[in-house]
Amino acid sequence: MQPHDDDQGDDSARTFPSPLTLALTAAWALVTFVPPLFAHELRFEVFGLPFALWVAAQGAPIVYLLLVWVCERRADRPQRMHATDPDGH
Amino acid sequence: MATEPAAPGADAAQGGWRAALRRRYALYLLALAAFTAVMLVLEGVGLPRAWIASLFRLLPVVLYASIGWACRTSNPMQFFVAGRSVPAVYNGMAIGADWMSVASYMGLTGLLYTLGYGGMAFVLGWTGGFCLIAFFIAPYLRKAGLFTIPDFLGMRYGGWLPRLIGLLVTSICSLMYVVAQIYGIGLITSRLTGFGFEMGIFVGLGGMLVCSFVGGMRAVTWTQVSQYLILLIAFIVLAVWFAVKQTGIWVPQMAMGEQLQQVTQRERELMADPREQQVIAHYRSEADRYAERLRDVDASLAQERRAASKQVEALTQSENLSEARAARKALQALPKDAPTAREEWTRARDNMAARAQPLGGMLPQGQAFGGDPRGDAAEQERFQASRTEFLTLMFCLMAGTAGMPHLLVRFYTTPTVREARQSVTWALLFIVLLYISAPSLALSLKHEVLHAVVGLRFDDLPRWISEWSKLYPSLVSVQDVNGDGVLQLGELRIGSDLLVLAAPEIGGMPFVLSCLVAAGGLAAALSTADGLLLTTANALSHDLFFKMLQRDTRLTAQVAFSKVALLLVALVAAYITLQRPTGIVSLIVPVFSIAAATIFPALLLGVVWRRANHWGIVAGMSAGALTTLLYMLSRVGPLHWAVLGSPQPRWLHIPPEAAGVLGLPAALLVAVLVSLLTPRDRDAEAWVAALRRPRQTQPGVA
Repeated sequence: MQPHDDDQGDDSARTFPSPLTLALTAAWALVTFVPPLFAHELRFEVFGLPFALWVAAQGAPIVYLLLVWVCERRADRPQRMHATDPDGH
Repeated sequence: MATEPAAPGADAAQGGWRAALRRRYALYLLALAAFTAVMLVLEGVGLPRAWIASLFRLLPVVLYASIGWACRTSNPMQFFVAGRSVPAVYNGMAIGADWMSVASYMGLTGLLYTLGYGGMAFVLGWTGGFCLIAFFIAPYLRKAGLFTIPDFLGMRYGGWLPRLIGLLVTSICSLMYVVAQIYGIGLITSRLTGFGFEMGIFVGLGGMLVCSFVGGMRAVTWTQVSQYLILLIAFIVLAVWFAVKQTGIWVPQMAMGEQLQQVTQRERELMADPREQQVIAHYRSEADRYAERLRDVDASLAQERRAASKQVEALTQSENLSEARAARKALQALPKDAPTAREEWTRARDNMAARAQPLGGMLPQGQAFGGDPRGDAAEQERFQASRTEFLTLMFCLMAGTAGMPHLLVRFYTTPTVREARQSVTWALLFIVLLYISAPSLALSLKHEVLHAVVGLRFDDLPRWISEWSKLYPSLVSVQDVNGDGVLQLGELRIGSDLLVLAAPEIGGMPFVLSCLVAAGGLAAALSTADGLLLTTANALSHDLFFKMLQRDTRLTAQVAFSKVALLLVALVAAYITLQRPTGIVSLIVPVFSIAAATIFPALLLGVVWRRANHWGIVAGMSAGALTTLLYMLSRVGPLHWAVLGSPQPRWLHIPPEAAGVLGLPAALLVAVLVSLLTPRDRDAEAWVAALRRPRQTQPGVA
């Protein structure tokens, strides 16, 4: 049950969740909830499809993919710096 | 895949292992393409369809079984978490196959066809959930380095209660989910082989068990990679075929604009068509008839009985035997008592009323929600209801995705935390490839049905209608309601689960492609079912048998127990499926609601809020589960008819299957309150701190 982590450094200085995670979550919420909420008002067309329909069919899944990718890339950075274990490949 | 992967860390060996994997799957893809090409040629020279179908049915199952056999293992590390040696790309593909079940492969396109924009709640929900997993869950799960989801809850919150609740939820969710897969397998194999539905179920079950039984997570992972490739290729071939056929554009996503324009044009024509109006009028009068009966159920039932028995008497006297038998059957088919009558007639009334809408009850493809926010009060109400249904469903599916045990255990199988993160990206990429093709395929099918099927004379309907309606009269039916000899849209009913399987025939493709699509569906069903069975069995074995009962501390005994549990779960699931459930998606959505209200908040708080403690999470998960189940069961299912008499009205327009949208806040609120009222757990807080620290060390490995 006890974590056998020898690093006793206080991590309370690090905010959690990180600002990046919060920003990504905000972007996720924006793409997810705004187009369906205002589907009736946002009537302009993208690639010949009504905006909300296009977002749901193609836009949002692609944005989700980007968000997850950014999260992965950014999260790797501090990890590499702190890694004492060279197995972080 | 037969060779033992090198221990992670040995870089050179890992490199060799990865190169070998690449070679094997490239060869496999070539073989798949060659096989399909040979079959196309053979079909051209006249090989009987039955042969082609049997080959397509047999070869994939033999292939999966041999991969499973090659990966057989009793080593617990291999059996439970594939030796933690699955590279991110392959883990992504395995997760893709694990995730994309028959609900994605068959159900989703059908929903998009019937609901239009409404079906997008599923596209968004089933992809957006991965963001939550990537931000808050996957890396921490991998860092904890445990074996199952209940295991994580047990470690994080201590004691046996969180583990037990996690175990219960995992078992129930996976069981219901597996039932939907087996139902899909039944549909596919009975079409492909001509076996009955029941026989189809057992054949599919056999193929499923070979993998998970002999090789555990290791065999399942490597089989799933091959299954992913088949299911994706089959789906993309379908989408591209229709896009090229209808618009000449090779990228189906880019063809949607043109298709939508043509579909909208045709929808307008059909809405104005007087023959469609006749069909609508017919269904409206049927709905009114049931509504009339429902006004005084007892009296109407007695009257129906009298009329039916009179008919039986008259026909028996006139010695018209076959009609008399039919009349007797009709008399027996009348509801047994008033509550049953109320239930049956309400359902019939709602069915008829739904069919009495324009376009056979389907919204125009380009319209976002039903109703009109600027119309009268009733229209505004319909709009609100439609939009709320969309948003709540989408939210439940997302949160449920981030709490779905069979998906989350996959993040234990990567060599490092970093690869756990990467495998989320890969998985989402592989999943999105299919999910952005589904709306296009659905639109193509709508295009095809509206232009090429509606308006045909009943004498020259395409063959697939008669073939499918013979196999599944409840899923495909045509009926000349207004007696003009021409098929109207309102007269055609296609069960949404069948649409993708029937798509190659709808589009007039070679029979080989029908088989390829069926093989893709089978791959989707088998891969998900395998993952689900394994998750349930491992949770039962590891958490119940080993951790909670502490019967045997040897890990090999856990593997043996897991195999027994696997068989039992599979048999129970097959038994439930034989009771003929109503549809793939209606089985699966409640599972997401339950996961969203229990496992998701427990994992989220477990990582995000250190203060969350044992009692908080026990109370929170219980509150979430209770809220969800109570809201659902008081509105659908056999319970409300027996206990409450009639379904309760929806609260704030929330559909019963999206009850998780109430359960999740309830769970969070109760968990926070109870945690604050009970003493802090310093050990747990230290464990969470270690979990968040960006280092490769693992906190508290068992």
